[in-house]
Amino acid sequence: MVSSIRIWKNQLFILLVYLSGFITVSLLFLGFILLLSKGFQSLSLEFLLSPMREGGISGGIFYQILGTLILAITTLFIVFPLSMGFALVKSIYIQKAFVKKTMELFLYILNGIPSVLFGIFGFFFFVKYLGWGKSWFTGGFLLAMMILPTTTLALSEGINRISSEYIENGLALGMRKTQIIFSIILPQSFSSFLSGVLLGLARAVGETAPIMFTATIFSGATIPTGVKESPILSLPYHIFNLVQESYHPQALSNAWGSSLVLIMLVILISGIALPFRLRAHEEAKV
Amino acid sequence: MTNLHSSKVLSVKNISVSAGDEPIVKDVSFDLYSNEILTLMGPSGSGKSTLLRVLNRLADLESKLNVTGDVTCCGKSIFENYSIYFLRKKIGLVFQKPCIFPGSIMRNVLFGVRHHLKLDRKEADGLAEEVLKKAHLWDEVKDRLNKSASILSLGQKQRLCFARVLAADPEILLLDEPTSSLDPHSTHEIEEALLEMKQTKSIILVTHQLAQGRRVSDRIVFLSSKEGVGRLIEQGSVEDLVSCPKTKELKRYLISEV
Repeated sequence: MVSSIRIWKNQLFILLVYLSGFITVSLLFLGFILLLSKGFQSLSLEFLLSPMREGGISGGIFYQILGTLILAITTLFIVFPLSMGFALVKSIYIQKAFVKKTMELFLYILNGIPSVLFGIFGFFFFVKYLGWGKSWFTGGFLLAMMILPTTTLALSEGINRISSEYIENGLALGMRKTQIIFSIILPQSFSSFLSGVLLGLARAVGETAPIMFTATIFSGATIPTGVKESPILSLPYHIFNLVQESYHPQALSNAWGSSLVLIMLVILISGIALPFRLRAHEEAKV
Repeated sequence: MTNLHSSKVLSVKNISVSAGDEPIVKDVSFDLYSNEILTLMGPSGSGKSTLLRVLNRLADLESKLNVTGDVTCCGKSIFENYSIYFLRKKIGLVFQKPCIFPGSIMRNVLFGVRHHLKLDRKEADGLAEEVLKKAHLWDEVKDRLNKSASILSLGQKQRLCFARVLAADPEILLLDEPTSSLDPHSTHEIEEALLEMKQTKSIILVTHQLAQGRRVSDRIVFLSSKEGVGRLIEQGSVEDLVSCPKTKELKRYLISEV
């Protein structure tokens, strides 16, 4: 017979679970409502498609959106092969548990480094030492380094979840390791990998500290024409600067508008990737 | 019965397997002849499945396993004279539990072979039909080849795994208790398929079911576990082993199976 204290504890636990879920969703919802109410009034086609004027007090944010998209795409192209290679080496090729654990520890440490330190490292190493200068490529590379743990661990988890039966059956059919990777392992873990990439990219798009030292300037940049010494404008740095000028009502209003656009960009990236994620998930299902 | 003119296709010579210091199988030797079905029979833990994994070198995956002795296939050592990928194509293995890859029935049939051969659409369709017929599955799936393989029943899945292995055209087939969890109809279909396949291939079947061994085998190799180590106790034709077993282990096993 179940005691009444046990029932009471069970009910309390369920209540706490619902309460934490409610608080989390409410905070997210309130934040979005606040952003929408404050930022919506600044939104217009002109705001989205025209360049900034008077230090951001008037004009739009076209080059900031473009710069942010360039950074996101560069990050994506760099992090994709890097994390895939890292995860495959860690999960498939390395046999020794000690080496695997060390690689995992390295990723966790990398994940815990504050973003401002990434910025300082990037500034001294890429911008100064390697002479890349402030550039979209430097920023993209640094952001890729920053989200590498998220994407790699997501793919590793996906690989670890694959049933060993698949791999054993593939090997028994005479398939080589590379054939197994491309026919079994990657298709099976791609959905997890895409989720990790999206999480990482959403974080990267909103980061200010790493790119303010390495990639972005506040004004004067348009479309990049080269790889080195080719800075861009970006939404996070733009918002950062406008908020510092927040005594001016128009600057504050534009900061809210830019923030809303930034959130919309993150939602857009997730939205674009959703069909791919669902397809990968569906294809991996037996 | 094995034809007297059959040639030896696989020769297992003094194979012993251990996991670290723990012996699993000790000093097992037997031969497999062309166009015969040889059944490895014995109680659980006698090392039958381990032996099969040694024969197509899946045991290599387990770093703790140590294999001594030799296995020759067509006169050449499988450990020294064959590429591991070629060997696994030549000696196909069907597992106890059917493993279906995500995707259609057609994709599953061609899953292994498309990595070995370049097939155009017509050749792929032809091959799929051929091997599905050999696996006694064609009539049940011919109208839904592009549908997901996950909708098949367990018995159909096992026959699909059969077809997938056959598509690579192995000379030797290893079957690890392929009907242990199947219904009588699927078991019958698989046994029929085995007897037909015997015309062109040599087969090693691992089974617990004496009745199955009697129905399909030409010869039986009986293994038993002594102090946790699998050993070969007796081998010979089905009639000899079943009607006049020489050892008490086999007698005991036969009584328990009746």
